[in-house]
Formats: sequence, C-alpha cells, structure tokens
Amino acid sequence: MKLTEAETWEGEHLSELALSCIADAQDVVDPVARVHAESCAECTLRIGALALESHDVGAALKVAKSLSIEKAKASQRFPTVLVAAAVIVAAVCGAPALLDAAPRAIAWIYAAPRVLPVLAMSFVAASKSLSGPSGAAVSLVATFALALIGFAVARASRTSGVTS
Amino acid sequence: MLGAVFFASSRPRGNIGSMTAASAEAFSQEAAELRPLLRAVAASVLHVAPGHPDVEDAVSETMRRAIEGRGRLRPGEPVRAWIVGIVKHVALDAARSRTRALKRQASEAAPESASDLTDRIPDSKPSPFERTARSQEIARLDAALAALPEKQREAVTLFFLEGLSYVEIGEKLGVPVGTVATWILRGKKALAATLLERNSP
Repeated sequence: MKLTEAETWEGEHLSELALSCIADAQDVVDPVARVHAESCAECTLRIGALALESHDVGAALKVAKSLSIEKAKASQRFPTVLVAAAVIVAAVCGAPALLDAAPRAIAWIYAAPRVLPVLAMSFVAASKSLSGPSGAAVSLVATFALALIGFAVARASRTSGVTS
Repeated sequence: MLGAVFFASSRPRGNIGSMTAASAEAFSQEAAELRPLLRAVAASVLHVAPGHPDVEDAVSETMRRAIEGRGRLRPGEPVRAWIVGIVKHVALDAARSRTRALKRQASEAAPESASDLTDRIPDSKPSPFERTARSQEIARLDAALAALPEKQREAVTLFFLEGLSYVEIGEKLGVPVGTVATWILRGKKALAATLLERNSP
C-alpha cells in the first residue's frame, strides 16, 4: 500500500502528507519520493519539524495515558467493600451498647439546660485564668499544632495528586 | 540505499535495555542508520540548513549520548522515538548556548545582572507551578483527543499508543493508507496546536 502520485507531490516538492509519512517512518511513499526527501534541504527541514511534532505528540499522549491509568488504579485501590463490611460489623457489635446508653443519653438531654450554662461559665473562668505566661504557652502550643496540621494537609494534598 | 534510512527503527526492537555485546553492536548500527533523520530534526530545531556544521555537531553528540546511555532504554521502547528525544534536547541546548553567546557578545561591557546569574542555576525538578501547568496541559490534550472525529481519534490512538503502522491501521479500519495518513496528520496537528497553547500568552 503506497500513497498515490497526487497525494505524494506538491509541485516540485513532497506534499505535507508524504513528508509526515516519512517523518513517522512509514514506508508508504515511492522510492523516487524517498530519494527526493534525502536530497532536498527544504523537504529535509520539514521532515525534521514533522518528526519533532510526532515525537512531542506521541510522548504527551503516552504521559496522558499513563496518568489516566494511575488515576484509575488509585481509585480502585480504595477498599470500598472492606470499609463497608467493617462499618456493618461495627454497627452490629455496637448496637447493644448503644441501646444500653439510650436511657442515659435521654437523661442527659433533659439535664442539658442546667448543665450547659455551668459549662459555659467554667470555660469563661478558665480562659480568664490563662492570661499571662500560661496563656502565652497555650498560644505557642496552638501555633505549633496548627503548623503541624498545615504540613500534614499539604503532604496529603500532594500525595493525592492535587499538584501533580 | 540512502533513501531507505529515514525508515529505520520505526518499531520496538525487544529488550534493548539489557544488552549483550552483540546487541550493543546492533544498537550502534541501528542508531547510525538514523543519522539522516537526526540531521533533519537538528536542522529543524536549530533553524539552519541540514549541512550546517552545528547540525553535524548535534548529531554526533546525540550518537555519543545514545550509545553511552543505551542501558537506560526501557524494554520495548522504540529506539527511534528515544533517539529523536535525545537529538531534540541536544539541539535545543545548542540553540540556547548560541543565544547566550550572542547575548554575552552584545553585553560584554555591561556588568552582570542578578537575573543573568539566576539563569545559570540549573533546574533540578519541576516546580509546583510547572507541575500544575503540566497537568492542565494533559487535561487539554485529553479534551483535544476526545474532540477529534471518531475515526481520526482511533487512527491517532492506534498509531501513537498501540504502535501500529499506517498500513496495519488501514487494514484494521478498512480504509486506504492515504486516508489513514490524512487522519493521523490532521489529528497530530490538532494535538500539537493544543500543546503549543501552553507557550502562548
């Protein structure tokens, strides 16, 4: 199977179609065209440009394909079935304890209007007592903890491919 | 015959990554057969005539790197695409050095600025911005591939990703080789235009 004469030539030079075939190493042009491609500087330059284009497009398509395969694998890696099974087992095992705790939870709900103001006042009093050196220590620890959390979030987003 | 060498090494040649002495010899022979294509690519990157001395330098440097680094060629990876990648980088490096030399000549009397110094710091790995740009580029490429007409997309995929020849694609899709060549050329142009968008403002 070869290109036709009309497909191969464009005046004195090879057509872009024929040059593209040569750049892609496809043996579909006649020997006269091949000899011309070797001896004509203009056609050689165009073959070079088309070969580069093919190289770049091919490389980018391969990268895109490998990335989509990686993404598909990553989504398959999450053990949905196992996690669902674990949740069901935990719910079944925890049900008796939940049922036992229900009366206490109801009692707590009734006691909440009395307990919550006391808790709020205790919190305000504790905050006031944290002024001075102990307050500075608390903000230092909180700053450090926030920095650690930020670092963890950055790492997690990087490994999950947000920036890649 | 000279005319036949443009067609060398179009297909993967098995496990070249783990070479014996005999296969190393075969590799050198195969790489040497690619010289005309490498000359064409180098000339195209450097924007000079194929007979220019810079082109021959770039090709020789490419051959040296290819023969020395042939162990890095992954099993099944096409030799031709690998060496074209090398010549592209060698020629781009040569073009950059030429530009730098011209700049240096032009500003020889002027003191060196901070930006000149930072230009010399080698890039170790892509920055987060480059990685983001790359992933956006891949997304655009996927979209451009999806936007191609079905047959054109199929031909492009079979050629670039499955490694089939034009003739094999023609037989598979039941169309003449000229049609396959046209589909692949058009598809390639559309995808290349998408890749070039990254460099435009």
